[in-house]
Amino acid sequence: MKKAIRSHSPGHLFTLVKGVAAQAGKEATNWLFAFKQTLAVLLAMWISMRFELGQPATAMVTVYVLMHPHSGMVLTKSLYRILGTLYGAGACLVLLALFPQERVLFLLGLSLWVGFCTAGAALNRNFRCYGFTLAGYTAAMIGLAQVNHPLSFFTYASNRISEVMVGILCAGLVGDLIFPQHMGSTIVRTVRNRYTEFCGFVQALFTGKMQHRDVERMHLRFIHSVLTLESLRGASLLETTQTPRRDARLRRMNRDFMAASTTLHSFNQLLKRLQKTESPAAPGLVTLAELLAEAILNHGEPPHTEDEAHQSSRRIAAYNTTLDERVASLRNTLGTVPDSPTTLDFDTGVELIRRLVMEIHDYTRAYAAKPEEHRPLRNEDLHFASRTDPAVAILNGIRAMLTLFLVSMFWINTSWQYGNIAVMSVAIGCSLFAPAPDPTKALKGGLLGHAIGFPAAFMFKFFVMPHLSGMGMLCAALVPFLLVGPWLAMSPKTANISLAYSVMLCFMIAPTNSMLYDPMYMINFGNALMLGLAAAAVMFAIFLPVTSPWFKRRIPVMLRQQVLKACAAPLSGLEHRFESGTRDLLQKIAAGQSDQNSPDQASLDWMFLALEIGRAVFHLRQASQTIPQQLQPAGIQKSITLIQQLFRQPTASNHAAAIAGVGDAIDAIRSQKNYETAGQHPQRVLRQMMTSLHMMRMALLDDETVLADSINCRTAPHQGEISYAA
Amino acid sequence: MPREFALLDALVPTLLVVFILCIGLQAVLNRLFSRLGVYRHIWHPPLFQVSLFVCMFGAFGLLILR
Repeated sequence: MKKAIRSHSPGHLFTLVKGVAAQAGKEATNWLFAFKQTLAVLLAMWISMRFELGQPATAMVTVYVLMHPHSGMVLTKSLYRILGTLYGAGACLVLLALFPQERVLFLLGLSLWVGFCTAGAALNRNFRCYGFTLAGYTAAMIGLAQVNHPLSFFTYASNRISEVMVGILCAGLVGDLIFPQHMGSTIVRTVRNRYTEFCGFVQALFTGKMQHRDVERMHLRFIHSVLTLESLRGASLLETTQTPRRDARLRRMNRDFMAASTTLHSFNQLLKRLQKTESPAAPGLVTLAELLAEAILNHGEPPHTEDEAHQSSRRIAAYNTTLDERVASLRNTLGTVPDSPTTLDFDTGVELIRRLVMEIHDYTRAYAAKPEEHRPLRNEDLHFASRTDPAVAILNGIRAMLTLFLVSMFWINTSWQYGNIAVMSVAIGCSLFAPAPDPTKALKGGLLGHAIGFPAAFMFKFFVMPHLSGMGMLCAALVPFLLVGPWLAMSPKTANISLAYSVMLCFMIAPTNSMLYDPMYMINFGNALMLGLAAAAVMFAIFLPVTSPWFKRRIPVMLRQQVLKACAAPLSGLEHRFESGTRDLLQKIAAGQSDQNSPDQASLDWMFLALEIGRAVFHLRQASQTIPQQLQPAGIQKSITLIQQLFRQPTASNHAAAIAGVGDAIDAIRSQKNYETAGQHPQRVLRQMMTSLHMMRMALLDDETVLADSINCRTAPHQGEISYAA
Repeated sequence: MPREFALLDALVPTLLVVFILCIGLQAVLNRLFSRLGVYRHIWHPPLFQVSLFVCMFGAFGLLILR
């Protein structure tokens, strides 16, 4: 036995050491953040005490709310938050000046404001979201504490604003100056992983190694990655090392990647449909696809580094030059007449492959090129469209408003002494947790965190704190209590408890220059905080929860609207807006995607269908713009209008009309092609238009899509009625 | 210069205005520096920024309160 261990030990030891080192490296960044956060909190506390601001706890809580593991540019980033704070204080000042004697109107106004801020936070991303959060939270914090002493409001408000700003600056300074964790390295890693993954995916897909489920999961991962990269890019824009060239590179890569993955999906769908109907065009297309996969790979491996990508890029270019010959020879072996359906199938597939090759080539080149080789953006419109369902945001706002107002009424009617604390807790809970993908779950975690923070704060305040003297002792004794928060944040299971724990701890301990030890007050205060948060959790769970079927039904509607946009919106920059917006809509589903929480299948299917059809419509419109007016085939505009009609109201009659319209348009182009008066260029464009239309028709005719399902669902009871009547 | 001035009858320290102006100036300088690629030659860009800010704020503040 011993011998066996000894003989294996060098290898074992090596892997063991490597494992420990890798684990320690991961842990080290977490612990570094934990210490940085604690340092920022203590710094904020010290500065607030030094300036005698009254409530250092506000500054401490602000640090917890804002601090993020990645560093960004201190002052610029803080600007949004400072502005949010000022807006909040301003709103509160206006309310207090308007209704100094009218508590109901004042509370109603405050509820409206918090509701507005919650909706704004849900509608916006990144820094603007923080701005809204702070605007709501500051207004509630200032207004409610001073509701009984309106005359001292101004001093109180300016002190709270100062504290929030101290918190903002401490979080920013410590985050940026002490061992900054730059986003740049994360971005490079994300970009590299995604590229390799994508190439591996193309290869696996084209060699037929993937199940339908795996393909979908992979697409979801890609969507998630697109959005992650976009948010990282947005955040790193405020980082000093990020130059316009790098930014241009990231934007282009994201665009090319989205385009390539959509085309890949369309091609795969087409191939599946052709194989299902056993079309003779399918085997030729499979051959072409396999050759493309071969060209991307590097000695049978997906390319990893930029150099390998550079080689791939050359091979793809070579593949592209020989593509025409291959297509011609395959068409000969197919041996069908030029206008037969099989030829049209084949042409559509070839068109998609051509596009795919071009897009993968662009993507590979953008990846392989060094950041210095990129031109900064000039006239290209690469604005990432962010689509959030406005209904969801507005409902979030209404929910927050209602909760706040109900708790306020409870406070007034019971003349509860600590009611204002409860209302404040509702406001903080709503503005902090409403932007989360699942606010109910986040709020439940928050309650648990409060419940853990309460006894911890009690212990510290009444058993530890009286024995301390001086700032150094206070900090030293606080550190272990404060570190529990970041420690909870390290494991994903307890991450949503951590913020609430820290907030509770700081508010309950409330260190000030002259401490007040009153256990009764503290317990009442803590209870009010807990009850407020509990009320918010209950409201989020019962009043139209985000996970309710109504919201699920909203997603397909929004996705169908994307197609309408692709049909009607101005063409300039539309493709990128369409691609990014459609993916962004699914973000919440993709973000919450884990093993136990698989996304709603119907929304997913709608997204794929919307991408496929919307993109085909876009290409059709784009192509029809490049040919002169007199060559414009009849029926194109009509077919687009019919598609629009179908996606506005997916009914059987609209479905049939759309299929017929697309068919008419194809016939119109075909008859026009026979004139052969057109030159080389218009003929190619006409062929492209025809393939786009053919692709749409196939997608519409496919009886396995979600569109067909929903039409069958709608018509089924109708048919039932008829048979019953008969 | 007075140390405080009345903004809508609320006394505001002049230093606050200087602070805000310095943030604006910092943003402009920052854009300029990153365009010129100055930050590629700097070891710790955020530290540089904060130091620059402290220098600017200190200088202007002393000028005003002299």
